[in-house]
Amino acid sequence: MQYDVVIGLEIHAELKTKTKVFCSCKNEFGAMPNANTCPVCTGMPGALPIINKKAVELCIKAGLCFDCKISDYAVMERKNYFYPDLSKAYQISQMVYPICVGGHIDLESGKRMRLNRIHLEEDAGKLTHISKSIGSLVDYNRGGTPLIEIVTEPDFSSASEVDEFLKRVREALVFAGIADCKMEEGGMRCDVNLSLKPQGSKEFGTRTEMKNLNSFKSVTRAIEYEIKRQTEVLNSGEKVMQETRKWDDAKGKNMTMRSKEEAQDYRYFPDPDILPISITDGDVKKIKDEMPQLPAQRRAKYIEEYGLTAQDAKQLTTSKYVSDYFENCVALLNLPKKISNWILTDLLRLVKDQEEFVFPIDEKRLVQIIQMVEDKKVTKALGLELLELCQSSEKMPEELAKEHNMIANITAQQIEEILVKFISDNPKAVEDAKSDPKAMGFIIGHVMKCTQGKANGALVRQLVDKLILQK
Amino acid sequence: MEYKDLTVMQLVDGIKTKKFTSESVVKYFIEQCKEKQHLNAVIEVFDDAVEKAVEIDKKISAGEQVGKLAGVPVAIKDNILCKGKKAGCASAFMQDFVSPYTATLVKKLEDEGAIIFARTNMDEFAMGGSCENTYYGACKNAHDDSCVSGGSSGGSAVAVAAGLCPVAIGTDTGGSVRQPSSFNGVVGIKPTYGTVSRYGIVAFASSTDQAAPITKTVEENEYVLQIMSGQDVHDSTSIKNDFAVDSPKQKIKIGLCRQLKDKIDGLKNSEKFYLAVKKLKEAGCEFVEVEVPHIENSLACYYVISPAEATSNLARFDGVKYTTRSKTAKSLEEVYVESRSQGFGKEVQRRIMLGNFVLSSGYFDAYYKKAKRLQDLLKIEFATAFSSCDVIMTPTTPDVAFKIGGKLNDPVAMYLEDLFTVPASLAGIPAISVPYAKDGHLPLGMQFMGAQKSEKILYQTAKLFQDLFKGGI
Amino acid sequence: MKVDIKHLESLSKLNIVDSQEDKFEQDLVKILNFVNEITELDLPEEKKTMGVSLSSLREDEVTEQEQCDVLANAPSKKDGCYLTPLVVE
Repeated sequence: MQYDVVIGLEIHAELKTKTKVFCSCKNEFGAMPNANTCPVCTGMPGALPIINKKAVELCIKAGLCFDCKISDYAVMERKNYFYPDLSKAYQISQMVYPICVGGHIDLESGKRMRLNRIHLEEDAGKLTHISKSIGSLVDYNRGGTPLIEIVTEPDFSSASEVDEFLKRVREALVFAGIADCKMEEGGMRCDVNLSLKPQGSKEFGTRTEMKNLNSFKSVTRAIEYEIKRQTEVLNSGEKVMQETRKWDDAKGKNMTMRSKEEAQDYRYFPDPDILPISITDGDVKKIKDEMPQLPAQRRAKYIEEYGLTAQDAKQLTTSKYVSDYFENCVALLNLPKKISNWILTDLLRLVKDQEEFVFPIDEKRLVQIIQMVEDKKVTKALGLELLELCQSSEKMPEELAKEHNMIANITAQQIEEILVKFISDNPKAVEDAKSDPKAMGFIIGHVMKCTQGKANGALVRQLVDKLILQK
Repeated sequence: MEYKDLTVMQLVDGIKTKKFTSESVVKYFIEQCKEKQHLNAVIEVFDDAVEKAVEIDKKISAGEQVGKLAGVPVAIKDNILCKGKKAGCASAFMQDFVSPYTATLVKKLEDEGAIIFARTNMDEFAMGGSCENTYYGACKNAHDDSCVSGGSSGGSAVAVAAGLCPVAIGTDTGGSVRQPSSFNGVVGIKPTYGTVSRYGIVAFASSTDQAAPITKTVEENEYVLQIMSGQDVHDSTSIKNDFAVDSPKQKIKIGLCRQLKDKIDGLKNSEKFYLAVKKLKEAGCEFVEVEVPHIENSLACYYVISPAEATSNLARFDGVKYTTRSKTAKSLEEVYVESRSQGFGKEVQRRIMLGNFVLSSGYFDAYYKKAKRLQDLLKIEFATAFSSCDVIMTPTTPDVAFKIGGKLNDPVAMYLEDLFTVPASLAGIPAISVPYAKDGHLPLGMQFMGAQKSEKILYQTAKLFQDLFKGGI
Repeated sequence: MKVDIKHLESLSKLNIVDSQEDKFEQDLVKILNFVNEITELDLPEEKKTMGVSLSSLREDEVTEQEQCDVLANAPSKKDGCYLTPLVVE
């Protein structure tokens, strides 16, 4: 029997705030156990949550990234369950009135993936399991750090769609400065709800929820595994159990975590400690005005307006920094294709393998180098040399070029002299050049070598044409 | 003259003008606490109190500025946190808990020179109306030690009534300050919700919890409440309440709620209530009948909302971060279940279960959601009622203090004690209880409710009332 | 009115000793009958109450905090952490 795959996602991303979502403790990774805690995030009796404005704003921002409707009224609720990583025995989250509703991402295929909502909530602490005789350690440093949860509609039908979607989500969140989304560090987590139904059927099958997916790769593997597992279950005439399953990446399979019978009754209700929040159109506009243009829109602009290839456009938008750098350059010098080439081939090479980088020279200086090369004041090779020089100097490229005697200042007469000597020394090469245009490059190269690259390329070409090819 | 017969303001004045020392005042009240230990009002006298009093005296001698409560000993209910001091909510579960930080209201009192010198008995986690549900033994009425003190702030009310301290702080969620104040013949207010920061008060029902002073007189009550109140960055439900700035009313308009008429008429002491009405009329007050259509549903509403919030608020007491861990527990589940089962008393367990019932899947809409809507409606109904009167007058309690053990086995009978006090709690409006009469030797209190942030007019009415009934009814 | 006392115990992480369970259940039912009137009320639809403005919320700044030993009351601790029996996931 053939089945249709139905997948929905719940994606958590840690927000980039300085402080936690309900207290002024530092939101940072890697401190000593319980160093970044206070009465609020350790759930001391009498302590009360005070919501962080920035966290709400970042959640709104996330909604704007994916065309969500921003609610004018948001309520924080308590999700009640006992677990040692949850200091208050409830997680402050959202249920009936989330900050963002709806929204979508259009995949490259044109298929629209709908969001159900994006809401704000707090993260739990960290448990370290030592041994049966000692027990588990509870560290609340991460407890109370802000998260957004993006819940999608069950619109996905394959692992590749999920993969593209997740990458688009990450790209936008990182780009807009909302989250770092380091999946391996737990900065972005994804739970997968998956079910199968007979091909063409309108009724959904029983779904499972998969947790513990810590990389894009494991999401893909886990989905493929689960499709296969459910297919086998159904084909053998049995029923898929509604349950939560935990992915084991090392073993490449998943296992039952808890069944529906054990499913928790979270007893959500509005948190009486936190007043509902009113969000006005003005608030949303202010946040919208601060938003950078997102990668998908930028790519479209690069391709349509600047005539870049899709591949180049994609590379230029891998980070907001590179993309902003590129756009700043274009604003200074309207040669987007040239600038793109310089950035992608020459500049990125200098910062190779660095995860977070700044280019060694600013846009103004790069643009000047490109301009000089374009004006044939220096050759491309010298231009690259200037790039190197700029790294250890504050000076403008033009100044450096003068200091290092790089400016193309060889006269036509000097070039002619070199060529005349060349013709008399290499009659064979001259003959070759007449029949084979490739050999001409060799002659030009010779002139450049004799002038240490300071000859104007166009002039050389013109004189070679006049003295050799026309003869 | 004894210190217990002086008002808070007189004490501050005497200490500041060096008529007597804070040290002598504090020592005197510590002595009173020891002498009247059998009342079970005070759980612990803090051992640094005298030392702090000496410090204040030194400051005064050196001519330094001291605050509005300089050198005055204040007792606080056992659910209010003061760093380094025990706070146990009169629960076996929390008996060893030492406050890791200080409640905002305590800080405000201390900033004005108050000496937090003792903690008072209460119903466990503030759940109860008799102060019998306590790890430290039932607190006894100041006027008859075979009767209950009322609750949950029984210890604070008795401490003031019996002269163990000039002022004590209680908390009121559904009447926990007003009812024991009425039972013991002292003045207790439940301010507009948010007037006093809840930061550092162990939460019972977050949406109605308010701390407040219990005093001998209305004037002292107003004096101390002003010091305790104020918007707090640590409590987003706290508000700015400038109840001190309104000008006094020439003629007070008192509302009698039509929906409560039958209830009041049926009370044993209804005659006294109407005598009070008569006397107030003679004193120039105008009486009008007002409508609060759903006021009769308040009790049911309160006993849905408060257990729901409590069940969630008390989930954090799990034997992991604080509170006693069961010695027999081995697994995590046992730590939770055994610690909580052994740690919480019966009434607390009952309310936790009740709260979970009304929040649980299948019942949430019918109970909790409905109750919340009713609460919203009550707020509107009260606001409407106050458009035609300044205050609404009711008895504070259906009757005087009952015998210890009298209602212990009937939770519902106990809940009925809150009949007149919960409406103000649900509506978030201020309400004050002022003593006015006695039935035999046991005091009776009158309750005045006011619109949001109308404490000024409430205190004005209470003062007038207090003066009218100084010599009894 | 019936209550599933076992389910409530499980949600509450409480264990009522068997001998007291019946009385406990009776009391709960009694209380629920007492509050049941609320379920029969005909009330207006839920209204969004006034919220606080976004701009009034706490600024995202780390503030100096009073020292607070969060582990001081822990019944069991180790290496700066709270300690529980091994959590089996």
